[in-house]
Amino acid sequence: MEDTFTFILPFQGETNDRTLVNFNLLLAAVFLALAFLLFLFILISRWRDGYRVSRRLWMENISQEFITTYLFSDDDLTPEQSKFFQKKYIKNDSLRQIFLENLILLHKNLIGESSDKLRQLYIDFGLYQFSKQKLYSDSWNVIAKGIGELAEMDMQQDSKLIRSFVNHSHSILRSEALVALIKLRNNKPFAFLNKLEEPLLEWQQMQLARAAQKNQLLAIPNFSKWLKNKEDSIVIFCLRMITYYTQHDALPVILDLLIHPSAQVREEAVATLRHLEAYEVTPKLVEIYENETVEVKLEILRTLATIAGPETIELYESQLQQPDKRLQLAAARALVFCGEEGKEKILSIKNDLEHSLQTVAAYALDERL
Amino acid sequence: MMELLQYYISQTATFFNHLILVYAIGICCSYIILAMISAWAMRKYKKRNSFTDYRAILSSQFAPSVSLIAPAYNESMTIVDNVRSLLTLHYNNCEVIIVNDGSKDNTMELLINAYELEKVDFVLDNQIATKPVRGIYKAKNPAYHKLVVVDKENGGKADALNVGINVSSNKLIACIDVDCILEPDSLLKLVKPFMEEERKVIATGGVIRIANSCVVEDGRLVSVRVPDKFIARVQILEYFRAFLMGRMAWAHLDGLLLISGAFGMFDKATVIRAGGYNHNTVGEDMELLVRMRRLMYEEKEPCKVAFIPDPLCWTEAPQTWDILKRQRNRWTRGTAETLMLHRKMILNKRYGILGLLSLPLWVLFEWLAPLVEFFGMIFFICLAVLGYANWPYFFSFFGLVYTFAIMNTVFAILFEERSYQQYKRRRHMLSLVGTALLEPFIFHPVTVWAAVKGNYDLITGKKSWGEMTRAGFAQKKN
Repeated sequence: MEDTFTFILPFQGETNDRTLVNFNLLLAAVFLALAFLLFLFILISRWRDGYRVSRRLWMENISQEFITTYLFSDDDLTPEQSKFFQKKYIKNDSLRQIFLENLILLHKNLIGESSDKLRQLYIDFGLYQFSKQKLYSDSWNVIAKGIGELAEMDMQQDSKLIRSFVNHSHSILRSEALVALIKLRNNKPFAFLNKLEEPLLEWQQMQLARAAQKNQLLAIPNFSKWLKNKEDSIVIFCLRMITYYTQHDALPVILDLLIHPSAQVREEAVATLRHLEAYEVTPKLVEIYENETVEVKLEILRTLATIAGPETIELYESQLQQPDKRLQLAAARALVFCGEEGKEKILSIKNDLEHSLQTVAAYALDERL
Repeated sequence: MMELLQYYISQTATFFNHLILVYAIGICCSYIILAMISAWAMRKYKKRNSFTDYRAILSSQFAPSVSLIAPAYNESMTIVDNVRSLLTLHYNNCEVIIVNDGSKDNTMELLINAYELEKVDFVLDNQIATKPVRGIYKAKNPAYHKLVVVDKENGGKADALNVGINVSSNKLIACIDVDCILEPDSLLKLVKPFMEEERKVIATGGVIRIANSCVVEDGRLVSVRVPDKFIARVQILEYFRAFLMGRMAWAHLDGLLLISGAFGMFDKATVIRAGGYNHNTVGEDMELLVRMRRLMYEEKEPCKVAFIPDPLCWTEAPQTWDILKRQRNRWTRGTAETLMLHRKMILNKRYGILGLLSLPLWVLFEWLAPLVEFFGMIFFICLAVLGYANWPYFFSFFGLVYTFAIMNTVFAILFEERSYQQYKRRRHMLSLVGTALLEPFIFHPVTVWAAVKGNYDLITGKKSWGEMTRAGFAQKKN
């Protein structure tokens, strides 16, 4: 054995050949043993997964049967029955988790008295404590799971505890906390925006918008109050929410964003103005146009096409002469939509087969494109 | 004199023995380390993904728009079904661009008839130079409003993809092989990294799976099966190793160099800044990603290339040895061309982990490995003929390499088992393990030979793709 691990230099003759052969054989034996162990592990994990699936199915059936009886039976559940069920079936945390998941699944699909009854069962069976405990875990995914459960079961008393996770370093945990707060703080669903120090990722923005749509919020805030936030992603999110809730009151603050240092924020602000159909901002958009980036210019042209009249024809005509094809196309499209005069101009270009912009005009007039 | 010659031959043989042993141990170590990293990354991914509800993207006005680009060349057998399959993918803000790359068959006519296409006056913004476009078509039927068909002169896959990029109207582009079968939610999964990362994501790739012997109905995969043919089964194992163990780890290390040409999503602006696909290489997929990453390093713009371990795309693997050899020949040339084009990055600390780790390891263990193996074997045969072969050493070394290959493949099967377990029946798994035992004797020598031939063709200036005929997927019988 000692020989096997002796350091080998080249050109050392037959002794080293033997050592090398032994070394190779030893490694080969190790690899073969590992391969066999991995193969065994695959077989065992297949068997274990099968067992887990069948156990889960069994527990799901038991849980659903019990919860349905509890919900729809004329007789109330006696403390003895409750204790008996818990003792017999909810023996450990994994079975408790399956029961809880089934309860939550039903809760998602019920409203009114049935929903309240399930909430009571959640508390009576100690599942509330079970969920809450998860918030003190070291693992982000356990905390996130706990937050989701508390939010689904409408445990408003824990919103303060959940709020402590809104600036957590893990983006998914942060996201779960924010979504939960929208659900739990129905009167101030977006108050967390005041405390948020981390950027709002696109994915999180989507989750928040979805949560806002799903939960019938009692109070929709005026999102313009966060448009001066130093975090650009929060400003962009608020602009999108202003669009979604058509908050015309936000117009003055949005106008201030047209000189925001971030081009992305300016682009989003222009898009919001288009969705709000803010006709009155046309002169302002024309004024800032010249000094903008191509992306913002395109957004302005798209917006003017929706909100402006013939007064902007001059701008469009000048843009038709630009070398950038995207600007040419957007200007041509805007001309089509700015009234009869603009449409006639585009039609005359289209009909002039010699005109250098003939294809651009044809493209702009084609509704399929 | 004779004794001196014998002495030198013996010394040279010993030297090469040691060199090859060190090289083999280096490869083994790199595979083991990558497998460990991949296992950790996979666990992390699955944990993160347990909180994901992809339906959120489907109904959200915040979801980014995507242009799906699929080049088609002589695809008349399957084009209509394949396009239909693409049009039914689960994604709302999506346009499907089919680029007919000057097919010699009736691909274009079939598309025109099946989707009621008519030529439109499309203004092409030629941000990437391409071969001339003959016409752009849209459907008269509003049911196919997502579809854009481009008819162009033949210029190869890279050129067709570049045309698709010029035609696309969205900020994200997904490039696919038109004969692949995508999972219905594949776009949703590829879009997610672009939305959830703090760093700018420039590309995302997913796992490609082998669809041979699987049952397909209306362009959708309805039943996953282990291929009947040995050659296809081995490629399943290869794909497990490459995607689940290799790329997953490289993506985690931020050193991923390749997103499969079969299916990948890119940030269009970065692709255009990098100059689009290079039509002077047969490894255009790898070359584009390396060039994009190089550009980002040179412009000091932090970026990320993401990788999704979910099975997203199913493709037909070569079913005959000749086609397999052509494919591997092309892969070798593509790899070598890319590495040579970007040789400046190798061992250059300016390019971070890409320059210091990914590229050097690709040179050593991807490009050179088959050459080392081939010339090592030739050298050994010469020694054997001259009577200098050290047989005990040969057999022990062969045993070492063989058992490592088996262990590595069984580890890859374990990855599949613990992640997505597409092959649910026990006999499927046993069949894959059995295939792993035979692979080093039957399949591996062929791929080594194809790689050597690829290097030879590269030196002699061969540029062609090599014809790739496909047998087609098994259709569900009613």
